[in-house]
Amino acid sequence: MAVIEIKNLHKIYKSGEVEVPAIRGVDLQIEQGEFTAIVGPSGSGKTTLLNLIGGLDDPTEGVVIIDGTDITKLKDNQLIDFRLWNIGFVFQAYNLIPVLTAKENIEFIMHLQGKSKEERESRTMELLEKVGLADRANSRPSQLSGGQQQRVAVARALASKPKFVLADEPTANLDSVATSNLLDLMERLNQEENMTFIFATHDQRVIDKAHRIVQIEDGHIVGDQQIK
Amino acid sequence: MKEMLKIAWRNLWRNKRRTIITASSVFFAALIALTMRSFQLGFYNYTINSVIEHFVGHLQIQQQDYHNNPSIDNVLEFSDSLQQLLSKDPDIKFFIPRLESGAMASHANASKVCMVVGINPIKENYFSGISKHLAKYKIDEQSIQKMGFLPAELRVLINKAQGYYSSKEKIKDVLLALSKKFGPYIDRIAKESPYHGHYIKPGENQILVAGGLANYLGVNVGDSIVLLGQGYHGSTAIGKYRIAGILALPSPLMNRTFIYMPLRCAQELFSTYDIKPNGDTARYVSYIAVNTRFQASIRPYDYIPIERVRQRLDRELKGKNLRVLGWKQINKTLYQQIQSDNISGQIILMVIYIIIAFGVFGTVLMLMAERRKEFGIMLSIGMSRGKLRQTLVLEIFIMTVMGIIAAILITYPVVTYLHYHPIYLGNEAAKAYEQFNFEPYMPTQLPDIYFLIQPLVILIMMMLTSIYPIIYISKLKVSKALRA
Repeated sequence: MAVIEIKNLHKIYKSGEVEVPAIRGVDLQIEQGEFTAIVGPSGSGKTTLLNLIGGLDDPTEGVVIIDGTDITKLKDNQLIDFRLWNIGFVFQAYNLIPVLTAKENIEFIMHLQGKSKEERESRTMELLEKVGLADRANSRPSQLSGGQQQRVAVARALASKPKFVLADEPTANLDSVATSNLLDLMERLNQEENMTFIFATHDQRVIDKAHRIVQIEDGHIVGDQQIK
Repeated sequence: MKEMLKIAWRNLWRNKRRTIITASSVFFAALIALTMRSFQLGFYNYTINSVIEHFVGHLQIQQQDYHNNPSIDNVLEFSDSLQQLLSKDPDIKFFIPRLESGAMASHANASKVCMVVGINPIKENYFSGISKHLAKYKIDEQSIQKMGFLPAELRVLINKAQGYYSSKEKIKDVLLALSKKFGPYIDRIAKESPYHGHYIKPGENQILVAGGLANYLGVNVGDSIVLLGQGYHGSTAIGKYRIAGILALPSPLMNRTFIYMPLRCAQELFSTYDIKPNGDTARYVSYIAVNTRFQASIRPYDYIPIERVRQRLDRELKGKNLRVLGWKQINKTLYQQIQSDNISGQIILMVIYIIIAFGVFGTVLMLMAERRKEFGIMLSIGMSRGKLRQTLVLEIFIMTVMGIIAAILITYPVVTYLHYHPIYLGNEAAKAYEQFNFEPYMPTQLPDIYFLIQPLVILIMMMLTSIYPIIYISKLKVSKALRA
């Protein structure tokens, strides 16, 4: 079953009089439990496509249907709420809330969802165990290494039990050991929890781990390859 | 809300220096506002207290034309029925009759225009506490000569302090304002300058003379003064009175011109009485000063109950050729002086608030620019714009409240101390105050509602700066913010 369905998606950025097409008529379906990498050179439209899938940007044309909901028709507040309940994000620069501890960063999403304290605490500890950071629960982001921060970011992305996780260049700031650890973690979560992961990347180490590779160039999908 | 508060609080301490500087600017604004307001209100209330509460009265009952033409002919009868009406009014705390008229006071070769006030000595003392102004000390050439213990420079300076004093504290205030070196000599100076006199009694034919006038005429206790003026309905007012005491009155104008005598004595001097057809004597007064049970102050809402009593009395006295005036009507100049000073003070405060608000706004702008990407992240992970706005507003609120609380904690004890130990203004400042007939003291107002209003105004001004982040967050494009 397709968790994400993209039809004839276009995105044109306007800079004064100049129109810059970033996505040009993309059609794509992503099934539940996929471990997909969207790859392409810089400026190919990877991040824009990810932003459109995540409802962070409005398409110029086309639809993005997530689990039956056309998110292009949602209003701003509905979209924020939709993201809260359905989409997990992992960013290149980790982007944890600097004033909250690792535990609080993970809990924060569930707090926004209005979940009870007990539920929040048990899920947080479960996720911290899974990402191997239970002993750093009370550390603030500044006290964690880049790899540890990105693992907390993954745990945060999963905290809301989303339908899928969007990861934009998640390994760009990590060394090879941290990258390997992170990819192993995400692959394990993909297998254990059947969590759908979509990466925008040009990191070969991520591409090597991906089960499906969607190649994008100049806003077009130029290749779509099932590896496993 | 708890979570937002936690984030807001922790956000503030991400940049400790900036938070402390911003809170400090609010602190200084609140400190200036509270101190300045306290001195302003303190001074107004001190003036209103000495002039209105203890002299003019909250209200005055006058003959219809007296206010516009305060002549000895426009007097009213202080009848039993009028006294009964005022006595049974639950809102009236106190009332006293006075007979006032100008006269020429003479002694030996000196004469001067003065204001003769006929009073009920007992009631008047209760109302205005005149006896506490009775001179108990007099520093003059004679007493200065006796002060051999004074260093030469102080002997020169003390000449500027010649005059009458009602207490050692007043001597101390004046001398210390001239030179701090007087400190160790105050007690001995007071000891060398005693002055004796007594307060007048009803039925007595003696008078109290204000110090400035006594100086001018060169009179002392026990001397006599001749008063000459115009009496009721064109009669001649003339009389000779022995001085019972000298008054060191706080108002410089009063101190230069006033003479107090028992009411009956003044009625005889000015012939303000008539024989009624039934043989009774109708005795007249210039006005009846009335104090209500309410407080007179510069604040508009304090005047409302007084005005209500005024209107009621005015209705009750309708048809008797009488009118009731409120203190703001009677003492229009004082009221307008205070009012204009009050408004200019508030304008200065407003300017301070605006400057500080712009300072805080600068901080808010920096904060927004620095955290643009973070806002994008917050919105992308599912934090609603409303909650994000709430967090930012809370940050500004906390910074402001920190500054305000610190200012209150410091100002409260200082203002309270200065209320009970007012600053005495020496030399030039004192002269400037005296020109406007104000005693040269700067008391503060005890902390009350203004300690709530001023911080509240600051809080509102500072919270206005949160309009920008509210609009900013509402318009923030998540994808653009993420690229910041």
